[in-house]
This record gives sequence, C-alpha cells and structure tokens, in this order.
Amino acid sequence: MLLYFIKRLLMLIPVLFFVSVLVFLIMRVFSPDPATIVLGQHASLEKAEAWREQMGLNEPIITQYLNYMNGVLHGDFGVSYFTNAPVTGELLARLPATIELAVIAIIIASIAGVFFGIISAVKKNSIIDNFTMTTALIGVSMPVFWLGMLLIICFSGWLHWVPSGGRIDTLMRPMGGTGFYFYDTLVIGDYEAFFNALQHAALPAITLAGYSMAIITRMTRSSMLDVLHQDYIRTARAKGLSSWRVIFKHAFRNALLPIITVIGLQFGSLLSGAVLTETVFAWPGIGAYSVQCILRSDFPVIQGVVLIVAFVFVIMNLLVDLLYAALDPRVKYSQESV
Amino acid sequence: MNFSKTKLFAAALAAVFAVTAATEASAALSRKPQDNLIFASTNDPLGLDPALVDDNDSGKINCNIYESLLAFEPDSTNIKPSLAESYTVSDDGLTYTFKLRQGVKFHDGTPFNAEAVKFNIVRQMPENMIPKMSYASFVWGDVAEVKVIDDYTVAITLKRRNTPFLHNIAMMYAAPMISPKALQEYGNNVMEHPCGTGPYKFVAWDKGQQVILTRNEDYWGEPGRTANLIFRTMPETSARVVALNNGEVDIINGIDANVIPEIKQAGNQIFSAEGMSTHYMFFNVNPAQDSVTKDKAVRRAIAKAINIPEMVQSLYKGYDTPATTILPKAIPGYSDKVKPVAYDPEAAKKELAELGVKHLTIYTYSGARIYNTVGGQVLAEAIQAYLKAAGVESDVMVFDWATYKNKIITDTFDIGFMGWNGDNGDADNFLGLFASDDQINNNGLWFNQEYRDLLAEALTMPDGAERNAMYEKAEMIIAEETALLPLSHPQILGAMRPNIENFAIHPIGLTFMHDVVKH
Repeated sequence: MLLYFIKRLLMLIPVLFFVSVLVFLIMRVFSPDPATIVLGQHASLEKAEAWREQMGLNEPIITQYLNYMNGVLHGDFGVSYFTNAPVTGELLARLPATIELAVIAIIIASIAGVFFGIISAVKKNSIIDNFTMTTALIGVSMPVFWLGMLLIICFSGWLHWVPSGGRIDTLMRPMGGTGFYFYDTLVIGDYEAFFNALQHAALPAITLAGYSMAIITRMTRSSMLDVLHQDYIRTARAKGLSSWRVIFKHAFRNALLPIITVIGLQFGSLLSGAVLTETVFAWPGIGAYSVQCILRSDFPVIQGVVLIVAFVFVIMNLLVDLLYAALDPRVKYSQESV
Repeated sequence: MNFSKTKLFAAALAAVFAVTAATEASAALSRKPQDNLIFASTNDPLGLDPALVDDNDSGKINCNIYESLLAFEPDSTNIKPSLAESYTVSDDGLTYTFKLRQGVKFHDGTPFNAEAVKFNIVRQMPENMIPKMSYASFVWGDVAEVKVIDDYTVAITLKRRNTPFLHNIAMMYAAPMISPKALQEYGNNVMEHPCGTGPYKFVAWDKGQQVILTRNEDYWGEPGRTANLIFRTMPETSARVVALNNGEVDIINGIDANVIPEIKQAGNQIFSAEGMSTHYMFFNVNPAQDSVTKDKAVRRAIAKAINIPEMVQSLYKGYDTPATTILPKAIPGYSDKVKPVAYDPEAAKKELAELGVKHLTIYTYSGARIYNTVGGQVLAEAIQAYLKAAGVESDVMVFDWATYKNKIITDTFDIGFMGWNGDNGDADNFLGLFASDDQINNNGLWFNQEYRDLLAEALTMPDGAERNAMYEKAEMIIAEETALLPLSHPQILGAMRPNIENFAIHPIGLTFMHDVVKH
C-alpha cells in the first residue's frame, strides 16, 4: 500500500511537468505581449522594453522556463505583472474562500445527489424517476452563470432572504485567524457572524452544487440499477430481508465505487476554483481572481492557478483510488497493481 | 509510535490554539449602519501605493488615504492648496518653492515635512524608478533638483518649463506623499501597507473582497464625516444593482444606461456628471504601411459617411456626449469654434467612389472600456454599417484588449479605436499624444510638424488665453487633417441609496469621501 502510494506520488512528476510546459508555452509563446497593458495609459515603447527586460521576458524561452520552474520548486510562482505581489501569497489569501465554498457545495451535491439517485433507481421509470432525471438533465445543461443570476434576482432581489454576494458582512469578518470564516467565527463564539457567513454561502453553494449534484444523481442511479439486477440482490430479497436493508446494505455499498469516483473528481473541480460562480457572487476565491487575471493577461498568476488545479486533480484522483481499498476489500494495492 | 502520535496531536492542538488566539471579532469597528459607508465597484484595487498603480479602482481608495502637495477643486481640475499651503514660481518658471502645512502627521505618526517630500520625489527619479511606476516620469520626469530649504519649505527645480507641473502634482498617481518610514519598513512598496496623511487610514484589505478604512482622528483638517469606509469588490453589474436596491451597499459605480431605470424604480439616486475622457477613432497613417487612409481625402470622405451624434445617441442612450474635438469641454483650450467634418452621406459616397475606396479593414477590441461601455465590436459594427451605406465594404477584426494593443502596432489596417482618460485637466495631457513618435500613444502615427511645434511651445507657456488659443489652433489642425475622428465624451455614472448625502465622483473619476454622510 505504501509502495503504491509512493509510486503514485512519483507519477505526479511527469503529469505536472507536462502541464507546466504546456501552460508556459501557451502563456509565453502563443499569447500577446502584455507589456503595453501592464504599463497602463502612460505606457511607451521604451518603458515596455524596460519592463520586459526587468521581468526576464527577453531571455530565451528555455531559460525563462527553467527560471520559472526553479522558482516553483521553491514555492515561488513569481510575481503578478500588475500588482507586483508574489503569486503564492495572492493565491493563498484566496484559497480558504474557495475551499470553504467547495466543501459546502460538495456536501450538498453528495447528499442530494445520492438521495435522488437511489430514489430514481429504486422507483425506475416512475414519475419520481422521470422528474429527477429531467431535473438532473437541466442541472447539467443550465449555465452556472445564468442559474446564479436567477437565484440572486429571486432570493436576494425579490425575497430579500439572503445577501446578493460576498462572504460575510464586512464588519462581522473575523480579524486574523485561518481565513476559514465558518471555523474562525465559531472559534471566537461569534454566532451572529457564523450565521451571517452561512447566509452568504447559501446561494453560491447551491449554484455550485447544481452541476455536481446532477452528475452524482445520474451516476448513483446508473450504478444502483446495475447492482440491483445482480443475483445476490435477488438472493437477499428471497431471504426475506427488508427492502431498505437490501437497498442500503447490499446494493448501495456495492454501487458506491463509481459514485465515490465521481464525487472525488467533482470535488477536485470545485476546489480548483468555481470561476463563474465566484464571479457572479463576488466570492473572493481563486476562481474569481483567475477571471480577473485572464482578462488582463496576468500570466504568472494564470500559470500558478493552472499548476495548482492540475495538482489538486491528480491528488484527488489518488485519494479516490486509495478510498477504493477502504470501501472494497477485494481491491488490494500491491506492487503488481501499479 | 504512540509517543509520536501524542506529539503530533499536541502539535495540532497547539496550532489550533495559536490560530484561535490570533482570531478576534471585528469589534474594534462600529457595526452601526450609519457609521459604515459601503461602496461597491467592479474590481479589486491593483494596490495601495500611489506610485505603483495607475488604475481608477486603486485611485478612488487612495484619494482618501493620501494627499498631494496640491489638490483639485471638488468639481474641476482647478488646483487648491493641500499639504502645501502656498507656493511661488521663480521668474524663469523653473523653480517652484512650496511652503508646507505644519503639524501634519502620517498615519504612522511620522511628521510630514520637507524631507518627506524630497524622499517621495527622489524615490521616483529616473535613477530609482522601476518600470511599474507608470506615472513617475509624467509627474516628476522634468525635475532636476529637490532642495530642502528648511523643515517646512521645499524647492523643486525643473529641467525645462512645464506649465502642467502644478496640475500634475495634484494628481492621485505618483504625486501623493507616503510616509518615508513606511516605505523603508516595507521595502519601498506599500501596496498592502498604505500610509498617508489623508482623512482616512487603512484597516484591512481582504483580497478580492474589500478594503476597509477608518477615520483618521488626528487629521489636520476637519475629520471625515463617516466613521468607516468600505470599498467592496463585486464584479457583476447585476449583482451590484441588486445589492444597492437591497441596501447591502450604499454606493455603486460601473453602471451603464441599461440598469438606470431599475435603480431609479427602487428609489435610489443616480449620479451623473461630465467626465474628463475622450473616445476617438483613429486612421492608420503609418508611412511604413500600405493603407488607403494615409490619403487625407480618403479620411475626410470616411468622416463624412459617419453620423456621430446619431451613433452616440443610439449606442450610449444619451449618457455620452457626442464629441466635436479631442478636448472635453471642461479642459482650458477647448473651443467650440473647432468644427469636425460634417456628416454628408451623399458626398461621402461620391468621393469614396472617385477615390476608388471599395474596402477597408477595421481593427477593434472585444470588451467594454471605461470610455466605451458598449464594447469595441458593437462600435466597429456601427461604423461598418455607415461605411456600407457609403458603398464601402469593410472587415471588422475583433481582438482581446492585449492582442489588440499589439496588433495596432504590428499589423496593417485602416481604422482603429482608442480612448483617453484625462489625468490632470491640462490640454497637453490629451493633445500631446498625437505629437509623439511612440505608436503606443500616437496609434495611427500621424505626423504634422506645425501641430508638434504648437504643442511644444504651448507646454512651456503660462496658463491663459494665449496658451488656450494655441491649443484651439492645434485642434483645428486635427480637424482639418482629419487625423482622427473624436466620437464621444462619456459621462461618469454612479448610483446611491437615498440616505447618502454629498457624494460625487470627481471629473477625473476619483471619489473623495471626506464629506459624505450616511443618514
């Protein structure tokens, strides 16, 4: 198991190397020179040249890449072209917001998705099944941006139930701390602020959960249907076990592997920054920041974000694989299975 | 094994306690609504060091933290004393001697004096300047020497006469005074540790979320009227409008004509004022390229084909003013005697046919700009339609902003679009662009020796009628040569709750919040 884990970790290296080369080439070779916009209204050709020189953009592309990777290996993703601030710090400052939102969203998506998936499978071809599957189809197809705006207009604009954006009312924000507002507000016992943060997270979390929930529902349904047709389920029913016991103890546990895979991958994608959701709800995470940086061609930040996203995805894949062993005793990770 | 697990658990517990101890509620700031003025805008500021930024999102916050030697009047770019109580100019127009206000302190307690002024200027002189200081050469580029006469007197000598100098040092980019102690402490970069002398001081910047300022109780003048200022970042216009209508925020900017009815319907107020920016179409006259617009007759015929007032009304729904000259009305030197080429579609059609112009290439950008809220593509397509009516087909090539800025330097095309946001209320700030050999500023590379001589002479002349007449003449040359086509002067738009008093956006786009009250 340990050997498998180490080998899988080592496999990260070529994946991240390939991603780093790809994103570097796209940013530095195929993208426009950002000098004239970095320097703003008072840019000049002379100033642009001085800036390129200062940022090392006149070096051969290989040298630029090696310098960049040397920094990355030391935890330094360079500095933002526009703010001169270290990219690592800028991303770390926004990471808690993204993680907090992703965790809430995946909890909502998993609970609701699994619940509706099971109901759908058990009541196959019933009105409930058709309704759930149609809703899931809408969930998959509906643009996040549109859903977010719809929820804001409805629940914030018309009903005034929740705020339209942000993470917490400004003066309730906990000072210092971890940056995870739910945790920080609970730690200091400021329950008013905790519920305020919860209200703020409601709409973005539901918006973000929408797509994942639909995917998880469909996967749960299809996986459950496969299992429900197995002989051992028929045997279990023949033994006179109660319906819920057959569904949850025999069928669901065996249907869990693909569901876990989907949840893991969805969580990876949510963690990597919900670009549109964060922008619509003014949620100050990595996703909204990426949009801002893409719009103004702030390449070092975009490179940093892409590398982190790739890293998160690969790690999530690994964790999902490791979970298999915990869930299914037949799965053993030996040297041969690598 | 057990021992290491215990140690690990103890370490984790210690870390949790350390974090817990460092966390506190924002109790230091009042939670009373009337003490907190919340201003929502599109972007996070780039930073809070006025020497290192050039964006309005930073400027509108910085103007409440920092002050310059001089300041602009609340509704114009006329200058008034600020950190300098008075000044004299030597007979040769080269040396400016400033008497500084006494008893002023930076927010960190450092006294403001002549040494602090010198420190701030020397920081941005060519030998110390870094490329990101994009306004340093504009504001301080002509400075030859800064001399401390005594604690509260400083003399600045220029290399050449530069009439806009006094306006430049009233600006919120490069000109504001920063605590020398803070600059030394934070490695010559106070982007995240701003420290000025202004009526509000910095509390916190939650990246991507908000910047919080609180009243400077030791301010040398009347203290700010609201206790706390909160500048929130909300990228989506619709979300900002909902937040305003709900009362979650008090003021918003970055709105366009489409959302105004909804805002008014909710009982909120609209703020609109003549801005200080210009939006124009330029022709490619680069001598090294093969473009039909190098021919003045072609440019004039194209100008005749475009009904600018009609187009501006249709695109901006009355919230932009059709332009007749590059200078906005509020700038000294503006003249209504300057007449652009009149709209005459029949003449345009005839002349373009005679000149053999059948096809043009239009380059434009994809998104909206401050001076063009409908975006470059919509604008280019409007121009394309006018050209088609005049019998000329055209291709509209749309690029993202960064690509566009590069393409108009490297490619051959006929027509492009650009805009300029006034910095200091001086005519040279606008017209000087087209006297440059730098293609980033003079995009079409138009060249006219008479125009350049006029601009060079006017730059060194004292303010007044004679100088204004020279700019009027320069504008007439632009109109006659049809080097470019002024399109519009955008209005500045904002919206606020009905309980907000005294809020205004300055013509150069800054928001001084000192007198704003929330009832």
